[in-house]
Amino acid sequence: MEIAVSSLWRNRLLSSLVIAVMALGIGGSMTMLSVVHVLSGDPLPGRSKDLFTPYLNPLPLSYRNDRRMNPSDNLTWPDAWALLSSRRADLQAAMAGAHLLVTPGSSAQPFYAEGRFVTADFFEMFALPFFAGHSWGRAEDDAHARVVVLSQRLAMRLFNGPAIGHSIRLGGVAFDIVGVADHFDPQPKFYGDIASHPFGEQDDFFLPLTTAIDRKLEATSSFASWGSKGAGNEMESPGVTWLQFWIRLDSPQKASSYKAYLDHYWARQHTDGRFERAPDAKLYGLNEWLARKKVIPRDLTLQMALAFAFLLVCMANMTGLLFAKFSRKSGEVAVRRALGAKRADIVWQFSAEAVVIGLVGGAIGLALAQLGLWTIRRQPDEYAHLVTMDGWMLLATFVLGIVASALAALVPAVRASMVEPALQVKVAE
Amino acid sequence: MTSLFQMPMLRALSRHRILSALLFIQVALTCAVVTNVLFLVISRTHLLHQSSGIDEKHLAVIESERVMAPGTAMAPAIASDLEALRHVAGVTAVAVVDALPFGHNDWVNGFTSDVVQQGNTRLPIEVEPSLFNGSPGAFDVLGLHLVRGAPFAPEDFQPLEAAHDYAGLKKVRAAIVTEAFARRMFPASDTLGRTIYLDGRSPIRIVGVVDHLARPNLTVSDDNELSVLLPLIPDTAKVLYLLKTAAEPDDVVAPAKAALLGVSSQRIFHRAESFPSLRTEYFRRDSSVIAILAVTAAALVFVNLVGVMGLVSFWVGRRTRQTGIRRALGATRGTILAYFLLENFVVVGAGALVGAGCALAVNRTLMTWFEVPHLPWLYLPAGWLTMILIGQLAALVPATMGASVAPSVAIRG
Repeated sequence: MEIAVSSLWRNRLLSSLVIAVMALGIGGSMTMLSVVHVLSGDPLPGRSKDLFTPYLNPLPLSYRNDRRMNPSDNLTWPDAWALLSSRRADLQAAMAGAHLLVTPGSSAQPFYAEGRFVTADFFEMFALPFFAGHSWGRAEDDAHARVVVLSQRLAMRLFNGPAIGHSIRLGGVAFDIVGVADHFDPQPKFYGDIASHPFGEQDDFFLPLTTAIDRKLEATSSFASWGSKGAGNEMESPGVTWLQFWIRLDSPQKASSYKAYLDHYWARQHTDGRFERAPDAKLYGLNEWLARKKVIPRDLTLQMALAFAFLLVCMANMTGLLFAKFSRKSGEVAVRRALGAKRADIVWQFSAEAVVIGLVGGAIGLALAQLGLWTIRRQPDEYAHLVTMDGWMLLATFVLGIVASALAALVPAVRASMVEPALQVKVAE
Repeated sequence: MTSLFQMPMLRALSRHRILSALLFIQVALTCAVVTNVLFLVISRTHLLHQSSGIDEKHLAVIESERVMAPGTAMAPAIASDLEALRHVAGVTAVAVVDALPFGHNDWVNGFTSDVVQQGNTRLPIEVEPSLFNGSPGAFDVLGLHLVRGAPFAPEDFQPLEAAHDYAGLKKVRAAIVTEAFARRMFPASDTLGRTIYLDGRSPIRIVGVVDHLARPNLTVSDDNELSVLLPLIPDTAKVLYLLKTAAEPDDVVAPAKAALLGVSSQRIFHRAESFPSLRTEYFRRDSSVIAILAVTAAALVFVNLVGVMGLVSFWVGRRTRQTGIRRALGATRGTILAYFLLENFVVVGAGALVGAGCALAVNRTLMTWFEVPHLPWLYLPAGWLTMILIGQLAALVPATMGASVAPSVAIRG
């Protein structure tokens, strides 16, 4: 190892070029790898394996499907209601994104806030942490109660102190604040309208879905409708999908029996003539659902591939540089060989040099990757604020650095070790 | 020419087949990528300089949404807002509009050159410009440049009547259009005084033509200046107030917001900034994409430069003895240097030639996936030359070192 370091030092220009090339390759590929790693994280670690979303397809056979937005990803209110009242799962909740005007009073300025319409089980199912107060129960759902749970962020903004017991106007309707949620911002936002906003904003309020439907509050979901538009409330129509639905089942047996229940439900709707399609119900686990919906933008995957291609180019160039570097030392190698060093020893010596290059290149590459991530955070993308480097990626930077530089050094090192001892001693005098 | 092949160059190249191939592939790849990146950077930079057609330097913009009980008439509220803004220090004129270049809120409406009705033998030309509705002062506040005709007369103005299904649109009788729109609508004849038909029905007379007015949302196509101004006074809850200033527009933003809050606090500011900052914000993504592309290209060129340097110095180093012999036989340093550079030129030149072909292929592929324009052919020789220069530059130091071998080296072997 000492030989390696001193050898790097002796040939400073060449060494620093090799390290610079390595650092560029590592910096680029680790930037993109970190982004993809963050975005493919588990939104609810420890809980995600028990969470499922049911799939029903009430669309008429003639419905023309857009490939990106699939209206059958969401449920209609009548179907959601049927699943809710069946209580076949341990916990079940229907939900939809909301965008409402907050009017704090006649003197304060109003503003818009993003939140969610949910049913009572939402809080327990996703283990939403409470800072103060509590959630509401099924009784409030049934009574279309005007209660709301605020995020701590919104509560602080509005009251700058305890918020429980106060009331707040959302979308022109007064709600009593019963709870304040602690930080809760799973990403990707799996329980939202994932096809259009996979990395949505943190929810600032939660209020009963039944009340929202009752008051026709504005939902941000994509509403897909078919058939004739009735005179009634669009949100309650059996011909409009817009709701997300999640359930918790803590065993595979429960999951398969729930799936059977869904098939049964679909079959009944089919015989009643409401569902035109033959039963083909599905129950997706959370991670399966995320994989299906391809939450990571295709652009990012492409950019990551390009970044690794760039790393390959860098490695190829390192190989060229190391050929030059190692071959200059053929005299030195010959002497060592003549003094009894084995070929493997020579290869080992050069590999040690490569490891040092990988470590230094990795450290500089890490700095470059941080710079890259900082640039990405400044982009107007929905996911931009999430992008940081965790411990695993930190470790990966150095592992990648060492592996890449060892690979690049392999051929030049073996080649350099193949000098004939006697012949070269003569030249090297 | 035969002497070229008698030189030991090609034989030397074939002896280091892996290294030559490596260099060749790398040069081809770099050439293909750098040519495309260079082209994207230049064409995007062009987009950044899209003219808005308005006097940007002296304009501040406030987008305000009034929160009022349903059914309240907006026109009086907007009038009192304008009155308050008129008294802000530093503001020389005010107006209300519903759209602005680079402002995102885009209302596109179809116009035809003739009435659309059943039994028309000739189909009229249809153009879909962005609509810009504004109050009487808007034309001057925007600082638009009239090339033909006259500005709107006071009697042309009407309320938009947003609350009544935008009834104003059916009553408006005058329009000012951009030259781009005029050329598209009436390619063969003069535009002024001609009549266009909104939605193929309502007749509107063109009273003036301005040189430029960019749409609220740009695309890469050449449709970016299809715009029509109508003398309709916006009366929606959300409107854009324009403030013309004598000096820095940034300075009036805070007092203007305060003045509006003085009229009523029940409002949301969706935007409050000078036009230059609105412009920067609109192009933020493009400028960062340009920066990222440029950095990528620079990194690739650097890596390529270093790689060529390494290969050449390896190559040259292997032939120390051969060089010594040639020197002993009377070759000058210059001859040997020229020989090494020529060798580099052959490999890099061939690689870059293939690279130029790949550049075209990459461009075609990008065109099918993204909104990327056609790569002009001039970029191909430019990219090829750039690669040659980089190759020669990279080879210069190691080749000079290699050429300076003393003739005595040959004897020592």
